[in-house]
Amino acid sequence: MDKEKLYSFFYILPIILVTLLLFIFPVIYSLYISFTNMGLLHFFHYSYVGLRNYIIIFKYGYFLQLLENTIIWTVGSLVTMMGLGFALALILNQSDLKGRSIFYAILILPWAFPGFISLLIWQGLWVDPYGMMNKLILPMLHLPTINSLTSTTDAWVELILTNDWLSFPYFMVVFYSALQSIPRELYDIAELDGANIFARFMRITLPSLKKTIAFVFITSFVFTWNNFYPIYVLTGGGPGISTETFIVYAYQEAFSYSNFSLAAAWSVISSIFVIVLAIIVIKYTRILDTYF
Amino acid sequence: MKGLSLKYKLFKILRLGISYIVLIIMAIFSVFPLYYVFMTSFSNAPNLISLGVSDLFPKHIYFIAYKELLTTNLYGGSFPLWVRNSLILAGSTAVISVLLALITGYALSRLDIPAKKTLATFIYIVTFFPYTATAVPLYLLFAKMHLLNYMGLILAYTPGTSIFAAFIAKLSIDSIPPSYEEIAMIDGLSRFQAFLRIIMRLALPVVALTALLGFDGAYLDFALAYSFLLPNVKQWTATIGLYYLAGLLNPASAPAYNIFAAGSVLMGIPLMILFIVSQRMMTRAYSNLAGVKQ
Repeated sequence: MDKEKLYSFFYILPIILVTLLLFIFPVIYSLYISFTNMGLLHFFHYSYVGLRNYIIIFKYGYFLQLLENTIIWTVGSLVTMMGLGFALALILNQSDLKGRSIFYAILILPWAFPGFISLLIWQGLWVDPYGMMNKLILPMLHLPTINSLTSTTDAWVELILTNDWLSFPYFMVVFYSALQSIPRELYDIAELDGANIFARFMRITLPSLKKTIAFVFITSFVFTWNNFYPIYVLTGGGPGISTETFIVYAYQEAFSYSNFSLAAAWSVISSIFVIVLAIIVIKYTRILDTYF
Repeated sequence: MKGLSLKYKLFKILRLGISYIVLIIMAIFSVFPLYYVFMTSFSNAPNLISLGVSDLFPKHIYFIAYKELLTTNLYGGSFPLWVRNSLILAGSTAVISVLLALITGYALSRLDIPAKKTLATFIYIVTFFPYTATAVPLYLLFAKMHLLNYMGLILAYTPGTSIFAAFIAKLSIDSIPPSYEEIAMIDGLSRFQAFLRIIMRLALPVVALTALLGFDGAYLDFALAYSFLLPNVKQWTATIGLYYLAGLLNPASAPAYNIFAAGSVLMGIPLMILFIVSQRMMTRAYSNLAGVKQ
């Protein structure tokens, strides 16, 4: 190997080492642990138990329940967040609207404030019956109160509403900057040609945004699928396991119940999901093609 | 013609009216939780039950929560101590992330590496794994390696940010003419010195963005810090502290709720300002990734 090649090797080596140590090795290690009975009682002296952990996961219906929850969580959040963000971007994009920059500045605050802290605040807001949402806001709007401790529907409403609050500004910002990049002349010409507002939206706005929408949808799908904190902080997966997702459940099995081998099996399953989703993103958005 | 323009005018009024109503509702929705926590931090209400509507529009402002937060011994540790720990952790992560991201970005941009695209795809997949997805195996592995400490946390925080940033860095380095370094190398600098003096300086926006992402990621992580550091109160980070203050770790022993609110304000506001300041930069980076040309 000539000197220049060796040089290149040293620059790329750190990231390869780090990737192997922190991602590949742990995933393989958790695969290994998932075939043992490692837990609080057997932390150092665990033994091989075959497929027992996987049998528990698949045989007693946990897998299907968690899959269903994860899909409700991801699709429910994504549809509302993207819809809200898109609507607000369209509203802000009207050139005859006054005070756009003020509204823009206010509406990105939920994104700007650190998400984990916001969740702790929201947790307090949703407490039934003392939290401000249940004590003040919902009664003021003549809406029923939310009790996420007993009702699964309430728990989902609470989770998705909170997630909307956390994430709509991101979608608004990305869609808004995409809308701004559409040349205004296109609309002027269409208007001269007699196209009404809906025709202009369908023929100009949507096609121009197709690429952005696809990219945002697919990357946010992965992000929401893996989003841990809202569920962990707000409902802890309750009532029962009715709002648990793969990623939250794996964490709780390990750090709330010290059931490490079962948690490892769940981690293996959620890692497979992440890898599949990642490959779909890379293939579909061709994101890496812009780099090479 | 007159009818048409009247219809147009009515439509315009309706359109703008609905727009303002939606914007005002969303603005209230956006600000309410932040306003609420800000006001709670200046109240003297010890818990959620005693927190009333009057605390949202207070007649008196109390600084007692801030005083308690900054002086009391909490659970054997203290809030200033936890913030200090977080700053050390986040600062170290930011520095290492910048180095790793720029070195990798440089290699991807300039150097002749076999199977570059395969390698890039391979490391890119890593960015899809949040800390929480690998928390369990990392914990088990690091327990064996005696790395359930700050060293282990910094190691775990760095790659996700660095790889994401390395891809942005690559684009930025692509736009710096290679002749700049070649001239510097003819003048007697080594390739690494040229990298430090020329690339790092010219790619300064990327350096700043990477530092910010690395800092934020480490400063705000809860899942890994909690699993690694929980038994040792003196080593807690500010997020573990805040989780405890919110009464989620142990409701019985948690201090007054306004102290939690004060902690949220002190931790959240500086980061919020930092975010807003760097928002233009962030938006550009995100939009570039989304394929939007500015």
